[in-house]
Amino acid sequence: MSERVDPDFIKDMKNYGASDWNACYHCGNCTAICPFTESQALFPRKGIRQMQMGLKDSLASNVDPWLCYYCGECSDTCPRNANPGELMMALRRYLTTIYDWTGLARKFYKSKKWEFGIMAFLALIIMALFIFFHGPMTKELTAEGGVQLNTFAPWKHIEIGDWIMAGLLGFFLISNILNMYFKIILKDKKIKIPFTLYITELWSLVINFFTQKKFSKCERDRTYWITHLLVMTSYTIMFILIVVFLGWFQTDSIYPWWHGQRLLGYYATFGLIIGILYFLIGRYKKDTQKNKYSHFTDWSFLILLLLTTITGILVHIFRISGLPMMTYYTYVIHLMILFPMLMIEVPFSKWSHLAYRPFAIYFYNLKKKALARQLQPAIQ
Amino acid sequence: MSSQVLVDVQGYHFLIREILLPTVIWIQNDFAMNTNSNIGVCFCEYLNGHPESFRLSELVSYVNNLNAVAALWNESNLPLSNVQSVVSTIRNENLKKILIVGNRPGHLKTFFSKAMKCAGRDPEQVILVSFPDHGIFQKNDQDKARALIAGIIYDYPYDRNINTETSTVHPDTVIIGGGITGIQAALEIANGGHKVVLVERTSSIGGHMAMFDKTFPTLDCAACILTPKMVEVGQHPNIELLTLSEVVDISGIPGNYMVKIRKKARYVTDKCTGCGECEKVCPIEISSEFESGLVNRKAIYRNFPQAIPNTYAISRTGMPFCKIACPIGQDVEGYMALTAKGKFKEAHELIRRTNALPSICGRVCYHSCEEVCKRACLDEPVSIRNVKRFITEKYSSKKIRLKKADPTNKKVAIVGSGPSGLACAHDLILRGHDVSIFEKQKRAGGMLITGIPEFRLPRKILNEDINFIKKLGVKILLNKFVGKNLTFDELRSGYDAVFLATGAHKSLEIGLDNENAEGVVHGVDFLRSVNLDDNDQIGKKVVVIGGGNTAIDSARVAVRLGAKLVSIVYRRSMDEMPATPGEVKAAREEGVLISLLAAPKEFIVKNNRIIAVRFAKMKLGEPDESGRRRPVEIKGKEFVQEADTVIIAASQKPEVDFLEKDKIKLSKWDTMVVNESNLSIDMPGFYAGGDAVSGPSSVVQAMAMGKKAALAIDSYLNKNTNQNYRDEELNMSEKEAIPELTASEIEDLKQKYKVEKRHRPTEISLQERRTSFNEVERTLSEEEAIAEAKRCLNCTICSICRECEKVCDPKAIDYNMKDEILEHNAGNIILATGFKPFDAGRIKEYGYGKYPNVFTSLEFERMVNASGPTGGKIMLRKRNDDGKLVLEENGAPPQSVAIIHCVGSRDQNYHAYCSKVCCMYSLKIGHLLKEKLPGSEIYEFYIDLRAFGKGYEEFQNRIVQEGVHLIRGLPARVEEKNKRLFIRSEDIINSRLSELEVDMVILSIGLEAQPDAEQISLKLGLMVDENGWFQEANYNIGPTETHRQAITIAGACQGPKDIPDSVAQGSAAAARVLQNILTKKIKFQDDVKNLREIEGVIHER
Repeated sequence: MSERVDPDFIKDMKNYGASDWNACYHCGNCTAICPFTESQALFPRKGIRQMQMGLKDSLASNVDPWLCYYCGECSDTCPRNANPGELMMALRRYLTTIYDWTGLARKFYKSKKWEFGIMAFLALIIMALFIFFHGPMTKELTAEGGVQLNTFAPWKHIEIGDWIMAGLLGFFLISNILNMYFKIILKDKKIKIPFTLYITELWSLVINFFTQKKFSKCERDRTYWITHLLVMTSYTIMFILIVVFLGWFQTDSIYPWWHGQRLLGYYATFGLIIGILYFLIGRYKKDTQKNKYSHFTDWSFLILLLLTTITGILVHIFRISGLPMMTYYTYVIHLMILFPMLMIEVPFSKWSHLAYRPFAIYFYNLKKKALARQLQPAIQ
Repeated sequence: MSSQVLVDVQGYHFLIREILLPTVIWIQNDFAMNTNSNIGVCFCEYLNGHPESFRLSELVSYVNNLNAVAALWNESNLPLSNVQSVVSTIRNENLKKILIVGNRPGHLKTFFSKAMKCAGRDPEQVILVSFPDHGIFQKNDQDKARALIAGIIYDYPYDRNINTETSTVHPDTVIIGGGITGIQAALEIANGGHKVVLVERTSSIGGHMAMFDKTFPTLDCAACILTPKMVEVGQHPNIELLTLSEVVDISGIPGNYMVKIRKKARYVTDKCTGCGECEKVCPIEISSEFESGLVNRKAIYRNFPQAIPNTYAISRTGMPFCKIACPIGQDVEGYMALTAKGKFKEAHELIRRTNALPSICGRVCYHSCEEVCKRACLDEPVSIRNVKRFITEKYSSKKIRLKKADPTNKKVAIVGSGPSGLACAHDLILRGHDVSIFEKQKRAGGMLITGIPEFRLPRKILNEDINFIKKLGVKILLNKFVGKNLTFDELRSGYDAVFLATGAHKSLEIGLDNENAEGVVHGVDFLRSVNLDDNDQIGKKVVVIGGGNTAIDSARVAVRLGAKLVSIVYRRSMDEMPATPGEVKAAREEGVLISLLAAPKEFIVKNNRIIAVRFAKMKLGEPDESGRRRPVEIKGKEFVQEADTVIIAASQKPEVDFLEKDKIKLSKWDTMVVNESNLSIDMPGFYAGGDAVSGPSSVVQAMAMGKKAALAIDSYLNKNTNQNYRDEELNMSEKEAIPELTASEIEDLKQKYKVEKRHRPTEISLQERRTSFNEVERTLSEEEAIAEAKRCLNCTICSICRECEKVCDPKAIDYNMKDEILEHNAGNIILATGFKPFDAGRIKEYGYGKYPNVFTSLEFERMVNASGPTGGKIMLRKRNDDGKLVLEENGAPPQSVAIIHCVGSRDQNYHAYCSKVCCMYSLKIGHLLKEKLPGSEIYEFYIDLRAFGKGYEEFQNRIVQEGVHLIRGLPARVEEKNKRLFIRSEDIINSRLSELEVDMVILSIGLEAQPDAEQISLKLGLMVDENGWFQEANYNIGPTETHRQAITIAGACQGPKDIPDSVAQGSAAAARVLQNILTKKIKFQDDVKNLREIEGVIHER
């Protein structure tokens, strides 16, 4: 199937942070130096070629950018200073918009107005909901001296909201992944994937989702991986506590510090703060290749996550210190940041990598194994 | 030549006409002679980058004084982020025009155009004044720069009235660089009948081409083409070949330059027949530049057997620190090198040449050589003294014959047989004089025998050195006391010259009561009585007063004689103690107590026999004239120490009673006053030295004075009119201060050598030490001595071990050769300085220097060459025990070889340009490998294959036909596992990853500019581009011309080039030179006149 060359593609790609990729003269140094490349996955050079030629269809079915964890070694040694690492990053942003069928991701990446506008809109909805439906703002404290937060915002009501949000997120994310599956697997007519492989390869999806096992193989970036793991586990814990166990998590009684509720909460907030600061400072200092170039979405994601964490901690502090009004206001602000952040970042923006990366590895493994099986009889 | 008026080097450039004139006329049309126009000038920052090349501040102040200039900026203080401030300056000063002046003014144009536009002025009135475009490069072009700027400011066409001078062209040509380009140009001009001076930096001509095996695409043998040309250069009557030479300065005007050339000392004269015997005996090995570091060469070397000139050369980089520091100038490096090779006889002979008492020095010398040894920066200094001691014991002096000069029949008397007298006698007898030594004591040796105890210097050893001197023919007459049984008149009448070396044997009294009481002795007297008269009387409780070596020796002797309690009392602290730290340590080990900061106040006697000493406690005060802190008594703090023997070891002074005091001048310390330059005293023919002149000093210092006197006496006896003695043998004039090593030099040493501690001799047991006079330190074993000598770093490469001199039949070796500065007049200069190969070690990923079997292409060229170090055999490398890379002589040849293209080229991290030749020579290497190793697999990794022009594409096809695999894709790194090399690259054409395992990797290194090209360009007033290549006048139509008239460039110094291109440029440059010579006249622009004229016009307005 022939594919049309699109010379204007470069203009579009600039929105996603790509610099001048025409510097690349295809020596293949980047492919050779990358620890993850294989004969089936020749990146970054091949992806750069597809970008140079504007081969959108090839790009859409290209899983390679998700296999790159941006250690920056290719950029360091590139003889043309073409920054292959950053081009991979730009491609991942581009692919996020390709998988998203709503077209929102594209708007968010290309326009700050859209991103911040929608964010403000969602925040206002949360605010309005609280203005109209909040419980009594009692100044009475519990026997332990804590704030009666569940009077102001009963956890049962909030949990309903959580479920609605989780449902929305799940819907967008799963539909996007299906879209991705369609583009990467189904459109590729050359490979037929046996059903058993889907089951046997499932482990790679799970492992890579929870541990980013592949990431840890970037020898140059062990600290980065560990920090990432810290943030990932912290957030997952928090997410599960809020969506599934809100009744156990959002209590009025103050437990001793060794209680599971508090320990898990502290681990999560600690992990988030340390991790986010590490990433923010790195990006500010531009000390490694990975940190040299930052798209505005990279900043907004980190800052929103930091604000969410800080407001969450404040809610906790105000609550156990017995400052009712402060607790209520901070609680509302906390949700006003949390909700838009999740709704925008998870299905449409940077955070979507939580699903795309493990699925990309899953799909890649499927294709690789299927190809090997197809070739095996031929060899025999 | 009116060089005072003219600037040093001048030139004229057609761009002035091309660019400046139209600009000026255009300006004139617009602002006809508007002298009141207010003008702003901005100097670009780039100028500041070359402070050497341009005195910017002078130019700035000149421009500032021009009355039309209203505003001045410098790029460094230009508010680039704030256009508004410039806009307001334009408005306030009513600027009509802005000049941007400098080497690269273009990048500021947009800024000023914007400012002019904002200010409502014509943005076109921003004028660029580019110095390079007008041939302004260096400080000599000040006047031209001034004229140019003033001309533009005052709308006076700088070019309208070009003042040209005409110079007559000198028919000679200087060509810098003796590679194929230089050779070609030299032959063209010389065959045209004109004289050429060919200046080459290395020891022979041929450049890089001489290193290559084959040329591409014709696969001719490089040497077969080159050698006839080199021979022609060597024999041509019109070519003066200067090798090991560098141009240091150029002055004069086009057509008549004066070129200063430093011809470095070759240390081998033209008498050399090139037989190569010297190379066989030379003990020094260094990495061979010509063999590209693949093997070592000797310090005396010739690049290859067909080298032109076919004269050997010695690499020597000055004088080693050890020799500079040694008072007698011993060739330390020389005998270290010989010892390392096991040549003990030769080492001993070399030592004896300069050193009359080597066995003694091997024991008691304070070894200032070791103090300055460079090795100390790395680990510990070489144990030079112990190696010397080993040599003197290993090979007996009885078997050594030194060459003596023919007898002169002059008689010399030496008074005193101490180290000074013996050294003087040794040197004089070798010069053919008849020498007699008169000694007062019953045994010869002076302070060596009376002062130094036997456990430090066994008598057997002492006698060996004295016997050697006796055997040379020196007569030693004992019991001869000048003033008693020998008179000065006898000396005067019986001898042609006399050397007084009577030493300092008289003890200084410390001036306390009862100093003569029984049991109180002076150090030197005590030692003399023990050493000469076998006195073994000593008390039980001995107190030694003093802190010098005599005090320590006395104390240690006292221990050995059986004293129960020996203590040394010194009035200052440990830091000020003059005794050698090693000796102090040894004394302490033997049980000697050392009390510090105490001075004797009173000797307490009973029946005129000492029973105790009362000491006062001291503290340290202000420093005295010797720089040491003066001890001050602490009032009232005293103590009494019992003693039955007190040894006072304060100091000594010379005995002077015997001297003719009216004739010999003495200092206040009773030392003889001598003429510093030649050690003569006021009596004609009389010289003096040793402790008698210097006061108590060391053995080696005394010997140094003896040697100095010997040279002075020799020149006096040979009636040399130059009485002002200059120590030529020691090259005293070269004895410069020893420089401190810089941090980078130390780092280099640490990179090059591994840490290896010095070998320490064993000692006899403490019990034996305390009860006998046996020598304390043992001699190093043979293995230890050789290992120790191998630690020597050979700082100056050639060690002057004189082995080559011995075997050289035509007597061509001359160690005294000096660098010469030659001056040549030349009408034309051709620069053909070539390129430097890229340093592959810079790319860490390829592991060059780390993995033995990663080679550079140049190394491979040498290896595959039939006249190379392996005779054309392709070998692998391994690491030897020292960690150095060596060829595996008997190993299997490689079965698979990978050649990586573009190493250091086409890479923004190293050189962004393409080196042009690597693709083709890599293909050639592929061919050579296929030819030499049929059946081997050859892989070439390339990015793009550049086979342009005549015959190249065909060559590539041929190589592919031969079965060389071409893989498109740059390998990211080379890794070694189990002695195999792994290369991972993308095979772009086959869309797969290639992972290869090979035996050998060859890196096709690119070409880079010579590192000193920029420096040369400053000397010549040329310009180099951003990569360091010389800038041609015009890329298309003037590739060999420069901005300077009568200076041409040719070959790879202008940019990467292969042999045919280089040869073509060599001929092209020669054609230009011949044109200049034939027209006999060169016109060039007189900038000073131009400036005066413009200034005159400006003044009139």
